[in-house]
Amino acid sequence: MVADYPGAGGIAPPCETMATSLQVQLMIRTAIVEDDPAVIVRLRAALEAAEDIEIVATANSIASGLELIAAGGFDVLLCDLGMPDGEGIDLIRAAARANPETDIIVITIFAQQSKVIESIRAGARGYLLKDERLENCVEGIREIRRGGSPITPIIARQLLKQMMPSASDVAHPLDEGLSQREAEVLNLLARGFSYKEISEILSLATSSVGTYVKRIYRKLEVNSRSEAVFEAGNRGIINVH
Amino acid sequence: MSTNPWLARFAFLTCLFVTPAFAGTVNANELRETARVISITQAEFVFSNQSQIPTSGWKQHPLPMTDFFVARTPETTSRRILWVKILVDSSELGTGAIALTTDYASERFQVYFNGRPIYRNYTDASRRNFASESPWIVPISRDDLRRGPNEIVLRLESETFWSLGLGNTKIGDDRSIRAIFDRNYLLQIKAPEFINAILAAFTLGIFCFWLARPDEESLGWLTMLGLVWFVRNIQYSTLYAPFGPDFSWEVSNNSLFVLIVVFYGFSATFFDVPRRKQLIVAIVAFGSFLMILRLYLVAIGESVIVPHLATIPLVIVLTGIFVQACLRTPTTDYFVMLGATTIAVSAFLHDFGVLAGMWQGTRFALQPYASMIVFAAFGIAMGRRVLTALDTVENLNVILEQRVATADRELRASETVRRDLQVSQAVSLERERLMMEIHDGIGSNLITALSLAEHRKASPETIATLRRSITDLKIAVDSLEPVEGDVVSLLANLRHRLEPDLNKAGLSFDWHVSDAPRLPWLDAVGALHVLRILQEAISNILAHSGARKIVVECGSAERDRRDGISITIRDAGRGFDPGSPTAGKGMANMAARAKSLHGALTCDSGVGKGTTVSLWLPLLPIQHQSGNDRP
Repeated sequence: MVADYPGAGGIAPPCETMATSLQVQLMIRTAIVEDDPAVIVRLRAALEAAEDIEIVATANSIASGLELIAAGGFDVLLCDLGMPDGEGIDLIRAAARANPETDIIVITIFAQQSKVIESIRAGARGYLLKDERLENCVEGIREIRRGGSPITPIIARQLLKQMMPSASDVAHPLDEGLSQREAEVLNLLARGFSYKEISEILSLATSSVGTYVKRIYRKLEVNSRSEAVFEAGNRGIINVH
Repeated sequence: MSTNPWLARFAFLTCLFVTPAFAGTVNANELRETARVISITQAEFVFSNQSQIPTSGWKQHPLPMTDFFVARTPETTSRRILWVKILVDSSELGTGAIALTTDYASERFQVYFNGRPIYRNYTDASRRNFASESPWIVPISRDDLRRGPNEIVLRLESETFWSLGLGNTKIGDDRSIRAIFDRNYLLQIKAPEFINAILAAFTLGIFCFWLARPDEESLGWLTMLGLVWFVRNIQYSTLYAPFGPDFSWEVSNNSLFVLIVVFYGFSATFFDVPRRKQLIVAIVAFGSFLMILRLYLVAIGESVIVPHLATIPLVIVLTGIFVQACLRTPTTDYFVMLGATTIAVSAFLHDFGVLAGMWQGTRFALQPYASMIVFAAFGIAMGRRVLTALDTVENLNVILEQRVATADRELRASETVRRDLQVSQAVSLERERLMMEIHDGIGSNLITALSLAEHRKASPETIATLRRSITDLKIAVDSLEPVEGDVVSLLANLRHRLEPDLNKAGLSFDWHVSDAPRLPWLDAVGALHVLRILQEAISNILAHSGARKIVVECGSAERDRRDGISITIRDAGRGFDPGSPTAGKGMANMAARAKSLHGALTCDSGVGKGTTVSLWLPLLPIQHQSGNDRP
């Protein structure tokens, strides 16, 4: 993990610096883009209570959000969808392009499923409900850093429908279809089974169900990116070959 | 254009067999004539430029002698004169007038009967004739006939060594010989001449058509074909060629290659073969190459058989392509034209074989006849097109009516689709608007209110009410999700929504949900009913049962012999007396919702026995009506 830290290569750092960098790396640097000050206040309260999470930047519009993304220096981005000056989806897309290692979490009131799927296509890896259990977001952020993503049954159902190899269009096959195991996991998720129940049914480690979900999200993003290329090529916007 | 493969095949076979049958008849006629006619099969010949009948150097040779153009002779340097001697016994010649006929003789010839010149086919030795295909008749005076063997000598003279020769020669009584000559003259000269005249007229007609319809490529090709074929046919019917025999022969010989190119260019256009342009370019290139090769071979004095033979594989490949085109689109026109093409090719091969001495064949050129057949086939195709066009004009009203009906139908269909699309778009927009309203308005406010209530330590009832409102709102939002009647999905999402709160209250789910068929009739209103029924059942467990586990089962189930699905929510808690008035109200509400879905709700409970609530929903909306009966 130390080797992953940007300062680790090149000049050999002194021991002190090593210790500091280790500490810095363990902290989850979080940025927030949200236009509702009340939500920011509540998020700040919830996140500052956690000793392993620090808020490194906040923004309240698309414009300031783009600056925040350009500046970088965060591991997790919490991003609202409805901004006064545009769509949060564009910010998500920009952040995913700027640093694919960033875990982007979309903030939504009730997890409006179509919006969440759209965000995942743009590069989001999780969602956070803006409802009463905001304190749960700490665990949500930790989980996503560990490599697991949350999902709702309706989203699982939609993903199954869109990504099943058999159901996919023969004319434009998916770049990355679902593996059989991933399809099994999605099917159980769509039927309402919890991560724990699924890991028991499929004899997996509990944590790996979330990992499967995150991997499926990545595949969806890759597919939708190539779809966009396909569409653009079709419309003559960009020249494929 | 109508397609009748049987008619097409019949026409094809007819075309294929007519010509050989015709040739067969000719042979049969000949057999009948043998009684009064002697066919000369054996003769003697010598090449000699002297003006008197040579006395020595005679060699035996069967008749006809037409293969000198392949068997080159040493006497090819100067003017060639071939002497042919035939012996015939007077006893074989009957008592009437006598005549001799041959179906082929070199440019100029002179006949000596018993040493005395009796006939020559020219008056001016400097004027050379062209139609070596012409038959000749020579009357013989009985006065010159001797008893026993009589000697007939022919002095054949030609400017070109390959045209030297003598064809099938017969001698016999004048009437029979004249009949043979007449028939040969008809087949070799008259009919080709007649055909060529028709061809010229036909070509002119097609050319006019082409001027009127310049986009019809096949008309252009056919005009060219008619023209080239006309030029080539001249050699069969004209005795004295325009511009002299040498020039005409050269034009005629080279026209074969042009004819092949144009013939296949036309056929490729007519059959509309794939990659027609490339094919035509290839044919033109190959044909030009062969023609140049032939000219070169003539110039260096070599045999020209190679370029002629090279046309055979070309012809086979192209015919194959046209057969393929026919099989792909088996119309009568195509089959007729294929038959005509095949006959034309056979005619070329036949004539070539005769010329090369490979076979005797019909002993007259078939190419003029082939040209007629090809043009007739095209005439049939044109005629059919004209008939179809006439039919179309006659039936125009009917066709227009049909078209109007079809267009009307299509318009209606597209209108329906458009309206459906509009409706679904409107619904989707409305849903979007409602969602926004709920999210940014009510939802946002409720959350803020809850946050404030918690922060200011409001009464637990207030907080609980706010929480319940948020949950209700979330469930209402979920009912609007497009799940396409997937009850399992609704159920799963309900668990997802309720579980965090239930877990806090120390309750957990025992989840037994298997895949169940979709309910196509289930819309957002129905989905909300289902969710409310289940929510109510779960709330009751939370509020009253004191149970730790909620067992949820879902799967296909039959009720009153109707397919459907069943959702069961069961707990092992306190249970209640179904007869009690407090239990009754909630249950009645749930049952009413179930009824509006044409489903059924059953509740089984008793004090201390736990509670089982089952919701059954039909797979097909057999009794489902417009939705007026919904609360």
